[in-house]
Amino acid sequence: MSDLADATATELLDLFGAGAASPVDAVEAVLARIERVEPAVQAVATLVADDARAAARASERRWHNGEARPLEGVPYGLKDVVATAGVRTSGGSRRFADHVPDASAAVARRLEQAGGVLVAKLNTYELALGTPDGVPYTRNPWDVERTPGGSSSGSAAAVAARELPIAIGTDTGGSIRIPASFCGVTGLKPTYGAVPRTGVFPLSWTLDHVGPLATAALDAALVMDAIAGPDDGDPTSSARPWRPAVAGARADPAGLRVGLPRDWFFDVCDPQVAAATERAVELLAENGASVVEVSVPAARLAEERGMWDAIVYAECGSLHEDAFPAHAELYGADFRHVLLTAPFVSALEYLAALRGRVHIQRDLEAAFASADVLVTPCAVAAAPLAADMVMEVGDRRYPWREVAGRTTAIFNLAGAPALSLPIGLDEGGLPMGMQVVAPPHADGLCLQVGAWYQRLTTHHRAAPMT
Amino acid sequence: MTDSVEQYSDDERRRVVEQTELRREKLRLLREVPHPFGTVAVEPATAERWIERGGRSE
Repeated sequence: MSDLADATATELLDLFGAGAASPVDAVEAVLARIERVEPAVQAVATLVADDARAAARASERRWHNGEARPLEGVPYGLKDVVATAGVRTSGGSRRFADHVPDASAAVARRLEQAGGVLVAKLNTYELALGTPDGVPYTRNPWDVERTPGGSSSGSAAAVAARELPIAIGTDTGGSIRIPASFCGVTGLKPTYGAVPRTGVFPLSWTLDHVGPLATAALDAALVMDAIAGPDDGDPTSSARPWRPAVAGARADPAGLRVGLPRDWFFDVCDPQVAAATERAVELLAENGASVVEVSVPAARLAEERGMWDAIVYAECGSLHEDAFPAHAELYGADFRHVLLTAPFVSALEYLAALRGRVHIQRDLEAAFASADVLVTPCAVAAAPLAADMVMEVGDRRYPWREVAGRTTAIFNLAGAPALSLPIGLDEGGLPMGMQVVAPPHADGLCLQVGAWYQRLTTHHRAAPMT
Repeated sequence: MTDSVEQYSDDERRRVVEQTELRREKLRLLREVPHPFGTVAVEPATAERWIERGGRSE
């Protein structure tokens, strides 16, 4: 490994264990990478270099003393909606520009307790929703004229540029998976409640999820083993104990049944993305998986009947009642529009949308009767130009907000785990992604399929700025 | 408190009206779809319980 910044978390741990590299070396390598690429990428909101160096030295001692923990010495970053005690947590928002929390989020505490080394807080769309307004706009490392997607823009871009091997994001309608897809990295939206949201800025409490972005699915499993599990601070966190995912992710799945929902998910999809997804499924089939056609009709219902909008607008509006409209000037244009519209979602509309989630869950339950996982395209096309945010889907052009969440938001409504995986580059040299979906609490299966696919391919190793 | 319509631009107000009308029409259509539980009232927690059961119906 010529540059430790290019190593996955798993590779770093192997090198540390063999004494071939140290956490101090790894932190210095990622800090050097950050210094080199950050002027172009702008993924970092707050760099904590001194603290990271001190933590790396402590990790080095633990390795030396035989006291290494599961992520001992691995550098990581946190989306800036995740609270960090004593470190600014702005949420990408003018409202919280100088906010320094007293306590860390559960996910931050757990990563620290697992031995991870926090290096940077990472840029985000405003409070995980609004297009950045008055804060740096993160760029896609594959083409800095393009967006990395959002809202976990800094998390995906930082991993893609190999500024950090792992990062934490949040996902309310696709905010981990779409940036992962645009940036060619791996991202998991876990089962609803699997990862506690304690200390994370909320956007929409019935749809918010916290999860990992990483180069490889095996690394995402490592992170999930550290951050998942019940937490008293989050009453919506699942009471189910987390089943460790790393061991399973190292083994090939036997007799896997892959469900391919050709309707809806392929209806508005760039032909290159559709073909790459089909090729990925064929590869799984060539290696022992069986493929069945399934249908999820309620996907159309969810998108075309405004369920996601009604829930997010109502819950987001409720969360910001204390400051909006009294302090409307503290919000960017995009977020302000949501808050302006929120009061016009009636209680009946909100309840109809919540009730509608059951339609999706019933369809998924039927699909999972014949398939262990579903595979769909993730982002329906490659990343759009930041200047116009227009997605080119075959010969048609769409504003990105119209189609970006088309394949992803349904799984927030259902609460099922969904993993975005790189599946190669399009003709323009931009990453494409597919999505692997499993029943609730089968996050480990998503990760196992992802890691298996990545043992069969090298798409996840492609990196633009190394 | 600065909550008055004057503080919002014509464009902002137009977008709010358009989006609200569009969403209401979509949700009206949603309410016309027969619900899986028929006439049985379903509270929001039903969806969370399905998740907790690992995606299986009771």
